[in-house]
Amino acid sequence: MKIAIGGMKKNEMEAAIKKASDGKIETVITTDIGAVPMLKKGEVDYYIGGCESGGGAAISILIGMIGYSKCCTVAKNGHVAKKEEVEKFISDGKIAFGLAVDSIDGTIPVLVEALLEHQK
Amino acid sequence: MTVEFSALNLIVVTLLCAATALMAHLGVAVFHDGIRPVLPEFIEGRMKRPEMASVAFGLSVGFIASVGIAHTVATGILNPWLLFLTTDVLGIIANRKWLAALLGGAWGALTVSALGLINTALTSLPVDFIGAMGALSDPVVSGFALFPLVAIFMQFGAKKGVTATAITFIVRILIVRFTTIYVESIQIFVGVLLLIIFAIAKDTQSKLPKNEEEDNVFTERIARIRKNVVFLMIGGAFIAVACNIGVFAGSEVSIYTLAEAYKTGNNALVSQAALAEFMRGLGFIPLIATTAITTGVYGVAGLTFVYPIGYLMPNPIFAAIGGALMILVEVMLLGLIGKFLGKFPSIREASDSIRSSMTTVMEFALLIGAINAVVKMGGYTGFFIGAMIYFINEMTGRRIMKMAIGPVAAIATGIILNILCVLGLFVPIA
Repeated sequence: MKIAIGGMKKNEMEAAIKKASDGKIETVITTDIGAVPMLKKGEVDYYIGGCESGGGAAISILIGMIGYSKCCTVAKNGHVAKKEEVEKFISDGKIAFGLAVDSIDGTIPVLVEALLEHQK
Repeated sequence: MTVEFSALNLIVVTLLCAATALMAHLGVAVFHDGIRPVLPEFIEGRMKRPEMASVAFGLSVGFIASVGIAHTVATGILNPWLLFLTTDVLGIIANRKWLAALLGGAWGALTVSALGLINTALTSLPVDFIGAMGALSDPVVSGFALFPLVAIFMQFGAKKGVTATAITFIVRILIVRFTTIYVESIQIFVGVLLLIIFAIAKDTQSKLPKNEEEDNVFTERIARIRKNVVFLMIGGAFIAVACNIGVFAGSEVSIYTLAEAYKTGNNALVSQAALAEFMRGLGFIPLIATTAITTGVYGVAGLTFVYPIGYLMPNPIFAAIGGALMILVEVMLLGLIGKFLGKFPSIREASDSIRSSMTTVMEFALLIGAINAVVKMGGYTGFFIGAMIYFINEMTGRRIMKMAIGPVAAIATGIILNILCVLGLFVPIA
């Protein structure tokens, strides 16, 4: 599995994904716009982006370019992602995930776990 | 705590908020970058108003409650999170144009009135609250000036980061020793210059394939923004006037410095705030321009350059003209900006690093400032209260944003110390 990372605090995001997946997930640091062709060509499976609210800079370009139905906010500002919600997003076919940068530590392990389980 | 309640403030903020709520209602412009791309879903009929309203509310409520309130209570100056995020939501909830304008205007009037009341309440407290809030803003200017260096570390790694730090440090030492110039401005200039040089050098080396197909898709969306330009210019004029009369500031990077400047009458600080706001604006261009180009919905404050124009203009009339013209220029240049960003992907990436690093340095500066403020108010009893508020937030899932926790802790500590003082359990130290 390969994930493109865009938005804010990319280094922190990448480290969190590597740690949570024990190196099982490949990552590539890019920008929101840079991730769009990667997703379209199938070079990456998912996109994860951070911003202050989890729905703004993180995924706004993705919503505009790959469609609202493929994007979601997994953790809004002041919240941490819930496992059931994340599982539902993934099974609904969402491929671009936005989260609030303050919630990286809490949310990435949940998201990574759900993605790895979905892959099986 | 410098803004007195006045009829001019009331009228300007009421009209401003009525205009921004109406713009959100019509889908012309919204402040929240996350609401912008969802709006076409609503405009084009794939999403219903209540659902759209709940998205808008969900994305904004945390900001309004934390940064929106904290920055304003700590400085006595209104901010866009408090005003415009609310008018985004109100404009979307309202099902009629007049209702949108009415609700927006009412919110504006309410905030200005509340500001007057808070100001009166805070000046009469036994433990000095207002002086302490000055301590909160002390580290902001120097802290903010470090953002280009943090951004270089983030984007280009340790080697370039250390080089840039060494160069900037040498420049700082020489300027402080041999001149009387405001050193932070020069530091920011040198740092940003290095960041741009590194970014362009990387792009010319890598030669990525160009993506030309995007241009045509966006022409229609840009045309929609151009059609609304007069409306946007009116909004820009009101914002610049509100900045000019000192009742409103554009962001955390300027609001604390402006509060200090208005209190002390130091004009050099106003220029410093305008520079910081301008730099922040540069960092936000790629985000706001690209979301606007891809959605056809503009930002309420445009590319945010109307803020520094408002601070610097000699009077409200010039500010109004400057604000309106700035928006006109921005809208006309949108297509060009989009093309330029397509050619230099590292500049886009630099924008992400700049926004991340500005957040990092401001969180740091406001936390240090908050600790200074609580110690100033209540010695290490103040420290006990303020530090515990910070740790409780950290340990319980960070419900209050990192950017807001410093000011929130300082304000809460001030309130608690004053209650203790009234109860006779605490004696003011200064």
